[in-house]
Amino acid sequence: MKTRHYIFAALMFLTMPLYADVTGLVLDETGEPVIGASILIEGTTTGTITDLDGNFTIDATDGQMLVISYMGYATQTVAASNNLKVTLLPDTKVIEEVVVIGYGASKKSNISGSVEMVKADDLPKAASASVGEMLRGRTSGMFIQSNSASPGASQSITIRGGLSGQKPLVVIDGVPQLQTGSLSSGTGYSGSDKDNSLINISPDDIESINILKDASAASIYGSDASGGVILITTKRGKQGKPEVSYSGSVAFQTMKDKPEFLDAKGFMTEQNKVFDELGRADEQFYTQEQIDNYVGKGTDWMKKVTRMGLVNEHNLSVNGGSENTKYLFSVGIYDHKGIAKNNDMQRITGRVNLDQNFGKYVRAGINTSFTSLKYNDVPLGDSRQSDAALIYSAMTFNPTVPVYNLDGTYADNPNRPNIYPNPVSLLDITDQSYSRDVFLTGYLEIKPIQDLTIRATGGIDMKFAGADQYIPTTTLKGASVNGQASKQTSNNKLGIINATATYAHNWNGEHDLSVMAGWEWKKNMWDGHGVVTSDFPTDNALMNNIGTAEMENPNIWSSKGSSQMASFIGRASYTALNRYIVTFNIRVDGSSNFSPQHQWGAFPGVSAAWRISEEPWMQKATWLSELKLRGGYGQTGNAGSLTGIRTIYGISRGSYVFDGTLSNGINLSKLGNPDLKWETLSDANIAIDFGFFKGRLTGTLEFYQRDRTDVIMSKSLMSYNEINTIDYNSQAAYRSRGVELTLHTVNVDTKLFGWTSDVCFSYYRNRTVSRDPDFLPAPYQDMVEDWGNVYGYKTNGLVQPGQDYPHLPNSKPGSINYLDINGFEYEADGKTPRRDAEGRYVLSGKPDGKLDQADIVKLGNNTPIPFSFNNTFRIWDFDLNIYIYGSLNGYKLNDVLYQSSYGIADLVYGVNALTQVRNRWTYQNQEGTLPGVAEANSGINPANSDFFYEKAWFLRLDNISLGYNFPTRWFKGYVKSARIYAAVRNVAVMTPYKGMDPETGNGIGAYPNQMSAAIGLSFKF
Amino acid sequence: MKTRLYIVLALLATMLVGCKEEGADLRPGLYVDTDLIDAFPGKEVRISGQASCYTGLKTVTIRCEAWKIDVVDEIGAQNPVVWNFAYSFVVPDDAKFPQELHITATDKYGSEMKKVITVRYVPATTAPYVDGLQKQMAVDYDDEAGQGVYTLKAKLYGEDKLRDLLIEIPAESVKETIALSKREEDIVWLHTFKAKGSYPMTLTVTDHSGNVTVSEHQLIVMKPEQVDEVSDYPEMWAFKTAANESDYIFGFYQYMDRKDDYQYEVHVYAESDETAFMFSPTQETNGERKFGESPFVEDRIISMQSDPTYVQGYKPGKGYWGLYVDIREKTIKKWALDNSSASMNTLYVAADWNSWTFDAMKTAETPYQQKIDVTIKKGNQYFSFYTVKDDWGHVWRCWKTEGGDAAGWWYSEANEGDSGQLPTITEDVNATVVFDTAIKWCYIIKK
Repeated sequence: MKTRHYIFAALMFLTMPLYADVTGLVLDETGEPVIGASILIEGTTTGTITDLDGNFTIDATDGQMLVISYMGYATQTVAASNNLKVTLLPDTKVIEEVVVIGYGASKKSNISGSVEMVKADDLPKAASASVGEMLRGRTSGMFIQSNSASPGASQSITIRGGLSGQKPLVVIDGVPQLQTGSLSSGTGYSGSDKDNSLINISPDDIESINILKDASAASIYGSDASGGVILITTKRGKQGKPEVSYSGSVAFQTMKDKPEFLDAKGFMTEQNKVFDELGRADEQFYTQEQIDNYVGKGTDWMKKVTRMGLVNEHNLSVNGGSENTKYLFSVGIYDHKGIAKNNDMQRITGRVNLDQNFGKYVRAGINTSFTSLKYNDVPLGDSRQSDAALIYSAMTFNPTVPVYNLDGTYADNPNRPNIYPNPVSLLDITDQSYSRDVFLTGYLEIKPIQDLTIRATGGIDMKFAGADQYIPTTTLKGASVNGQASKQTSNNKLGIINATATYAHNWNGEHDLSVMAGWEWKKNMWDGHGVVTSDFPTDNALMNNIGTAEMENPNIWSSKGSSQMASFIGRASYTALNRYIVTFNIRVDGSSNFSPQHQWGAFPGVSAAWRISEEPWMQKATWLSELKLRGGYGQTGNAGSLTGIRTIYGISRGSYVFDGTLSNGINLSKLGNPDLKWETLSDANIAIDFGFFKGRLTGTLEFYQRDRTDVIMSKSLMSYNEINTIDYNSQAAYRSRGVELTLHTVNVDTKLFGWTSDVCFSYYRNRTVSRDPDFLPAPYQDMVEDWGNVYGYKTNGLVQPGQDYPHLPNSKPGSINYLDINGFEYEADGKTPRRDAEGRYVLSGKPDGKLDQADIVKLGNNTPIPFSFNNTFRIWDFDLNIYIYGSLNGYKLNDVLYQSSYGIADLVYGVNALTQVRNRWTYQNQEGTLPGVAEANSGINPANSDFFYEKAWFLRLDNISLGYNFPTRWFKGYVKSARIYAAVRNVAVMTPYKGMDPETGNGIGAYPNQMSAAIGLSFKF
Repeated sequence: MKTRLYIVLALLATMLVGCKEEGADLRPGLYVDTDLIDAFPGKEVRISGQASCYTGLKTVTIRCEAWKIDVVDEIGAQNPVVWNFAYSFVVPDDAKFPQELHITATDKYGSEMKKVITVRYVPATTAPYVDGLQKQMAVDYDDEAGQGVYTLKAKLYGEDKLRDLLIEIPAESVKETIALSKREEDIVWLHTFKAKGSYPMTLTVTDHSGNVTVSEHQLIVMKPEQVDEVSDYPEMWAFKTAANESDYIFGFYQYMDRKDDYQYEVHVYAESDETAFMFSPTQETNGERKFGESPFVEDRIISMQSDPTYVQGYKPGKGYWGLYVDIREKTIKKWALDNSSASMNTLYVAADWNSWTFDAMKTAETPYQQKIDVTIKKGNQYFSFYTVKDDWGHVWRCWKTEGGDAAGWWYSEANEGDSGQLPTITEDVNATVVFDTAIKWCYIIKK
C-alpha cells in the first residue's frame, strides 16, 4: 500500500506544475545590471522587476516563458530556469533618436533637411565653460573658433561659412535666446570680447544639441535664421525615485604658447647693436662691461603677470517624478582663475524644469534657469605706448628693470621714461563686468482629440549686465587723467509667445503625416546707461564714489529701445512607406523695424528624402543598414543691423555750434531708406546618409550651395551733409559652396573592449559672385573673388649691398626685397591709369620700376577647412577618449615676429623683441634672414607682403581623457553609477605656424593659450 | 637595511640638489657706472649701477665708514632679479682723499658680489653761473624824484662753494664786493641812478676753487614804457610778422604751451636771421593784445596796443628755437632745439583731398621738414601724416584746444587721437602742405 502511495505521489509531483522561486540577473550590453527591468510570465499578469543589482526572483515553473523588457532595449522571451542570466541588447527601433527640428521634433529617420545632433554627455566638459568650446569640431559644417584664450572669451561660430554675417540663433527649449552684444567695461582698456550666448547655459544641463544647417530646416525660424540655428534641449525629470547626480572637476592650467623674448643680457646686447646699426653708437645705454657683469635673465615680465590657472566646476542635480509629475532641479558653479593674474570668471547656474500632466489631455510645464556671470578682466590688446595692455606690455617691457622702485612705486623704463606702462602696474586696474540672466519659459499642451496637439509656449529672457572699471593713478594712463572710472549697465529683455497646433497620424504604419501651423510674437526691449569720468581725489574708492570726480564734462549716456516681430509658421511632413519623405516649412515674419511696404517677409523651405535602404529590393543587401538620399531648398532672411530703414533723429551732445560753443540738440543721425528690404539667403542642399554592416559604419555626405542676395550695403552720398552714407540693397551677391562629411565607425565592440571613431570634415568657399555696376575693384582684385583672400606684395629675401632697385628707392641693404612684377597701362596723358570697360585697371604685365598696387597679388586664402577625429575606447570599466580637431588650411601673419622685426629700432627705446631678431640682416650678418633696421625707412609695411605670412593649418590634440566607471555592485545599491576621470586638454598643436597659437593667438599681446590637466568625478544615487 | 637607507638619502639629496633654482650657485652680477670719481669737499657725488642675479636680490649696500655713508637697499621682500641703483651724497667738508666706497650686492642665498669705487680729489673746474639777468635791462626813471632805482635780483650757482661777487658800474664808480659762502646764493642789491642813460655793468663771481665768471650787462635807465596791463591768458599763439595770414590755410598761428601763470612756450623755426615772431592771446595779428619786443630793451616782451607799431617782432636768429615768454616779467628766453629725436624720414599724407591714399612727401627746407603740393577740394576737411605707407598704425596725431584749433602734433602708434582738420573749404585751392617734425607743427600755404 505504501508503495502505491509513493508511486502516486511521484506521479502527482511529475505531472503537476512545479512552482518555485526562479532567480535571475538582467544585464545590459556592457555587463552592467539593469535596474527596474520588467519580468513577466508570458500569458499571465504575474511579474516583477529587477532590483538595484539587476537581480530578480519570480514564482514560475520551469519551462514557463519569461518576457523580459526594459525601455530602450529589445524585449526578450526566455524559458524560466534558475540562475537565469539575461543580457538585454539595445533596441535600435525603440530608441531611435528623436531630433528637435524647431517647433517640434521628428524621428531621425524621417528627417529630410540638414540637421545634426550632438549629445551633450558625449562632450568632454573639463576646463570648458561654454558648450561652444566643447562643440569645436564636433560637427561638420559648424566652425567654432575661440577669439581669445582668456576665461569666458567669445567664440566665432559660423555654420556653413557664415555667409550671412550673422551669428547662429540659439534656441533653448523652444525659446530663442537674447542676442546681445558684449558690454565693454570702459573706454580706457578692454578685456577680451565675452561669450554672451552659449556660456549662459551650464553644459551639464544640456540633454542634446541640434544644429539646423540648411535653410530647408532653418527656414522655420525665418529672418532670425540666416546664421543657422542651434537648438538646445535641456534635461528633464524622469519617472522614478529621486535621482541625485553630481559631476565636478578641477583643472590646472599652464601657459602653452609663450613666445621667447630676449632676456636682459640679450636685450642689452641687441640694443647696443641696433644703436650701432642706426649709426647712433654714441647713444648706447649699456657698456660692454655692464653686459659682461650681468648675471641672470632679468625680469621675466610674462612670469610676473601670469600664474597657474585653476578651473573648478561642480554641478548637482536632482530629478525624478511620478507618472504625472516630473521634475529636475540643478545648480552649478564654474570658477576659472585665468593664467593672467587678476583675470577670473565665475558662473553660477540654477535650473528648474517641471512637467505636469493634468489628466490624459492636458500637460504643462515650466523651464526656469538663472545664470550669474562675473568677470575680473585684465586689459588686453596690442595698443602701444601709454595704452599698452597687459600681455603686450609683458612681452615687450624692458627686462633690465625691476618691478618696483625702493619706495614701492612701479619702476619705469629708463631708456624712454614715462611712455610705456610697467606691466605689473596694469594689474592695479579694476575691471569687473557681470551679467545676470533669467530665462523663464512655460508651456501648455492640450490634446483635444487623438493625433492633435495644441501647444502654447510663453517665455522671457531677461539679462542685466554691468561693467565697472577704474584705472588708478599708479598706471601711466591713470596718472595722465588723475584716475578714470566708468560704470555701465544694460537691460535686455526678450518676450515671446507662440502657439502651434500639430496633427500627426500614422495610417497602418505606412503613411505618416504631420502638419503644424502656428503663430508667434516676440518683443525685444533694451535700455542702458553709463558714465566715464576722471580726475579723482583718491584711488581708494575705485569707481564706487563716482560723484567725486572733478572732470568738467564727464561722458554720460543713456538709451532705450524696442522692436517687435510677429510671425506665422507652418510645416507639413509626410512619410510614405517609411521611405519617401517630404517636408515643407514656411515662416512669414513681420517686423516693426521695416517700412510698411517691406514689413513682411516669407521664408519657405522644402526638403525630400528617399530611404533607399527601406526599399524591398534592397532588403537582401544585409550589409547595408541605412541609405538615404536627401535634398532640400529654402530661404532665410537677413536684415543686417536693422538700422538702415528709417531716418533717425538723435538727441546728441555737441550737435550744433552756437557762437563757437558746442550745444546739445536734435540732429539727423541716420538717413533712412524706405526701399530697403530683407536680404535673402537661399540654400540648396543634397545629402546622402549611409550605414553599413549593421551600423558599424555610418555617415553623412552633404553638398550645399548658399546664395546671399539683396545684400545690404552702405553707400557714400555726393553731399557733405552731417550724414553722408545711406544703406541700400546692392546688386552684390555672395555664394557659398561646400561639402561636409561625417563618419562614425564602431571598430571593435566586445564585452571587454570597444572602440568607436568619429570623423568630421568640412570644406567650403565663400565667394562674391557679382558686384554693383559702379564697383571699382582694386588693381589686384578680380571683379568677383573668393572670401578670405590675402593680398600683398611678393618678396624675395632681403636687399643686399650693391643691389639697387628703382622701385625701392628708400630700401637700403637689409630691407625686404619687394618684387616689382607688374605695372599699369596709362592713357595718352601718361599719367592716368587705364581702365577696361568693366572699370578694372589694365595692367601691363611687365615690371615698371615702381612698387605700387599693380604689384600686389593674391598670396593665399585663409578660409579654414575644419577637421576632427575622435576616438573613444572602452576597456573593461575604463574609457579613454582622444580627440583631435583643427583646420587643414590657414594663412596668417606671424604678428609677434612681424612686430618684433619691423619694430626692431624700438629696441633703443627699451621695447623688447623676440630672440629671433638676432637673425636679422646687418652688415656683419649678411646671411640674416630677417630684415634689418633699414626696413623701417623703406616706407612699405611688410604686413602688406608675404614676408611674415605663414601657413597656419593646425591639428590640435584637444583632449585625452581616461575614465574609470566603478562597478555599481561595489556600492551595494546606494550608488547607481560612479565615474572618475583624468583629462588633459589642449595637449599639443601640430602646425607650420611659428607665431602664437594658430587659432587664438591673434597677434602680439594675445592672451596665451593654455594646457589643462583635470581630474573629475561624477556619480548618481 | 642600512644600504637601502643610504640609497634613499642619496636620492633625496640628489632631488634636493636637482630642485635648486637655476643659477643659485652663481654670485650676483654687479656693475657700477664708474669705479673712479673725481670730487672735492662739498661736491655732490652720484653713484649708479646695476645688480643682477638669477634667484632674487636681498640687499644692495654702499658703505664708506670715513664719510659716514651707510646705505642699505632692503629689497628682499620684492625679490627682484635686477636692481638699478643710484645714490647721491655730498662729500664732507673735512673729507680726506682718496677714499673708497664699497658696493655690495647680496642675493637671497647670501652670495655676495662687491665693487670698490675710489674717490679722489680734483678741484672744481666749472665756472660759476649767473641766472636771471638779461643782457639789457630797463630801469624805470622817476622824473619827479629825479632818480631810477635798479634792483639786482640774481641767482648764482657754483660747482664749488662761491667765494664772492664783484659788482662794477664804472660810470657810477660802483665797485662793490659781496662775500658768498654757499653753492647757491640769491643776490638782491640796489643802486640808485640819478640820470637817464645807458650804464654798462659787470658782475664777477669767484668760487673757492678759483673759477671765475664775468657777466656783462647794460642797464638802460629811462622813462617807463607805458605798456598794457596783462592777464593770465588761457591761450597764446605765436606768428611770424612777415607772413601773410591770408596765404595760410592752416597753421599760421602756432599754439604756445602754457607752462605756468603768464608763461608760454613754443618751438619755432626761423628761416633767416630776420624772421621775427610776435605773440597774441587771440588768433589775430592786430587783436586787442599783441606782444613783441621793446624797441629800447632787447629781450623785453611787452604789449602796447595804444601804439601797435611800438613793439617789434622778436628775432631769435636763423634756426630751430625754443622760446619761453613770461608776459608778467616781460622776459623771453630762447634756446636752440635739440633735434636729435626729430624724424628725417619720408612722411605720407592721407587726406580727404587724396581719398585717403598715401602720398609721399618730400624733404623741404630743412631735413626735418616734409612737404607736398596738393589740390584741396571744396568740402575737404581732414588730413593725417603717416610714417609708413598704407599703414594706419604709425600716425602723427593732432591734438586740439577746447575750441577745436590745432594745438600740436604727436606721433602715436595707439589708436587714439585726431586728424588735422581744415577750416571750411569753399572752393578748390592749390596749396603746399609742410610738416616739420622738429617743431611738430604743420602749415598749409596757398600756392
